[in-house]
Amino acid sequence: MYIINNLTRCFGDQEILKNVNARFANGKIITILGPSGCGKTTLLRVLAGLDIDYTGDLIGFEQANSFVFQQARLLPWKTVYENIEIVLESLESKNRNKRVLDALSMVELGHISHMYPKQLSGGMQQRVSIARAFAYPSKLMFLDEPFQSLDFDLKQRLMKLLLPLWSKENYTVFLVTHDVHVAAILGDSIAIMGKNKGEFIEIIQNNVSREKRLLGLSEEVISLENKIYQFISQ
Amino acid sequence: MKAFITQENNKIFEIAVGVFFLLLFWQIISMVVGNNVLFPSPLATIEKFFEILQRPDIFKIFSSTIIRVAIGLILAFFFAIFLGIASIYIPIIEIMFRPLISAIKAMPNISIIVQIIIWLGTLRAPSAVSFLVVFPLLYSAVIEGIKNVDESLLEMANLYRVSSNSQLKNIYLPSVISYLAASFGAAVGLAVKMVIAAEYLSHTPSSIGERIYFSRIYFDMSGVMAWTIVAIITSLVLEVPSKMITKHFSRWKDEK
Repeated sequence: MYIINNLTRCFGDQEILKNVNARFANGKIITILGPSGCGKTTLLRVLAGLDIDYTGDLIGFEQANSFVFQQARLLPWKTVYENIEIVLESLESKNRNKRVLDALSMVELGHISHMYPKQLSGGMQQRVSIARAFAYPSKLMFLDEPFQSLDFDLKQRLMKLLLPLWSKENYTVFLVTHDVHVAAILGDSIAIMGKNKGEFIEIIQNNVSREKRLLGLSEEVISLENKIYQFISQ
Repeated sequence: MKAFITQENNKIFEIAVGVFFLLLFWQIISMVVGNNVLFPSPLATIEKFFEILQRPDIFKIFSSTIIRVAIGLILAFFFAIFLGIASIYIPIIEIMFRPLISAIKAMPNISIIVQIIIWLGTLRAPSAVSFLVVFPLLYSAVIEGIKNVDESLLEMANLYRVSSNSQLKNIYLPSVISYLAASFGAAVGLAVKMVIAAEYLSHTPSSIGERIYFSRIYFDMSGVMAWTIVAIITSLVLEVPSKMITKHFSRWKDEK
């Protein structure tokens, strides 16, 4: 169980997060949705331990976690393979090779392991950063607008790729997005943050199964998206 | 391949044009001055240069100066990296060295040379001068590289619990090297100039500086110019390994 208790984060006099409270079960995908500037990324950074200047309690988040940033954050002087290998120091060297190659083939990039980031498109770089997150030994993953710089087709392909992988490996995922469609397709729980509210205004449980969501736009998904829109427009 | 050959040919052509105009300009001035002793022609200088090449001790003179420059450069390189990296962990080091570096940078080079000659004597002074003049340049480049390390990469590395050693090797050093590479070419040229100036003033035995000094006191201007060509060659010889090392560390930039 992941518990957020009275979480508050201020920047100067401004309260970006105000007494956020929530509970999420292990193995769930939580999409955090809200308008720009509502504190989604701040919340994700606090949960991931990247920002420790907060008040309140976080339970269950202390473990190692992987993070897919908005930008791929790859070392330009390292090859794709080395960029993933660098985060696997804690593993024995014989296990690293397999883990890197497995992660790359998961995101369908097994053939570019020798290339440097500058030789890849933005979408491929983002997939490498997703592969790095999967290679890292952790079952808790944070993603901050991972599809922001990707075109519609690639976004669809990646969503279809990620959902079964998270299910198979039983990951708990916190994904920040401002895209209602992404939130509805990927999220088991859709946590909506309001503008200038600094907290969740609603947490919607997605009753459509992960398998069904992957098939595309069903009536249930469309009605869920409409429900989300209603909360966002409040 | 065709494009490559054309590019190479262009480069050779550009160099040839540059050298031609330099020699032409030199020849015109020498003709205007009209005194081969005061301002020797390119031909007289080249003749003198080949005369120098036939000296039995030319290799000793040439290599002694190169070694003096290299000692100063290598020491400055490693000290700059060592102190720069130490300042990541102990920031006060950078603060402690700041006034000293500023003072050395602001000091007239001649003051540095004279003081070092007095303190260290003729044999050790040139290398020490090379070190002292080049060190602030390289150290500043290292500090600049460290200060400009991409914070987002460090944040990523910390999140993934990448060890300090690995961060140093895989994030800080590559960043520092790109800044160092930009300064190293200038450092080589500066070190050669300063070592030869120190050799000249201290009459260091078996050195290019000493040879320029003797040419001057015998009023052998073609000798001064010919030894200057030897000094330029020294600088070019030292630039080769530095360019190779730089290329090795920035090979990722060349990938297409």
